[in-house]
Amino acid sequence: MNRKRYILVTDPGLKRFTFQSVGVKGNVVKAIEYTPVEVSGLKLYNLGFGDLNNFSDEFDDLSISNNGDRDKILSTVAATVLDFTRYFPGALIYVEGSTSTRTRLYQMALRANIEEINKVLSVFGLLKGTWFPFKENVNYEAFMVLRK
Amino acid sequence: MKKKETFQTQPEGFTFDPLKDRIIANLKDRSNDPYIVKKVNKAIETIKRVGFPPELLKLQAERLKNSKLEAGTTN
Repeated sequence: MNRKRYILVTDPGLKRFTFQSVGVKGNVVKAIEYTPVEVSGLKLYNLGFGDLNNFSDEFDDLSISNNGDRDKILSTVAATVLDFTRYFPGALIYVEGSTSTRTRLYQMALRANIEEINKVLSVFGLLKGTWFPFKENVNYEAFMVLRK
Repeated sequence: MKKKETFQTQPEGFTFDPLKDRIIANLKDRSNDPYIVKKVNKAIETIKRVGFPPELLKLQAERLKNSKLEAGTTN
C-alpha cells in the first residue's frame, strides 16, 4: 500500500494484528482479528476490527475514537487484508461493521485503496440478500474477499 | 578460537519481517472476545441466509485445484 499507514504488530500466524492510532485525542490501541468460521461446510474468516479498552484489554464495542486519522487507520486495516491473503491465498474473508456506519467505513477503505486492491483481490458486496462485484458508489451491507 | 560476539538488536520476543516491515509478536487470542463472538455469530447468520458469492467459490475451487496440481497431488 502506498498510502500512509501505521506500523503493524502481528502474531506469527498472521491472524491477529494490532497497531497504535496516534491522533488529536492521544494514542488508541486497535486490534484486528481474523477468526476462522465454518458455514454450510465451507470455511471462511471473519475480519473483526476495533479499539481495545485500556482497562479490560477487550474490544470496545461502543468506542468512537475520532482521533483524526481515519484514512491512515483504514489503509492500515486494508494492508492487513493484503498481508493475510498473501499467506492464506485461498481464504475467503467476510467483512461487516458492527453498525451500518462502520460498514460504510470499510466501504471507504475499499474505495480509497481500490486501485491496489483490484490488482490482487476479488471483492463482492452484499446488497439486499445478493452478492455483487464491488462497485465504488454502492453502499453495501457486507463484503466478501478472495485473493485473485 | 575466539568466541563470536552476538548483539541483541531487538527487544526479546520480537522480530522484524524484512519483507513487510511488520513486527512479529505473540498476540493475545481474541477469538473469544465478546465483541468478536457477536460479530462471528452475525456473520454466520448472514451467510446462512444469503450464501456465498458463487464467483468467489468458483475462483477458490480453481485455485485449490491448481495448487494440488502444482504440488503433484490430485486428491
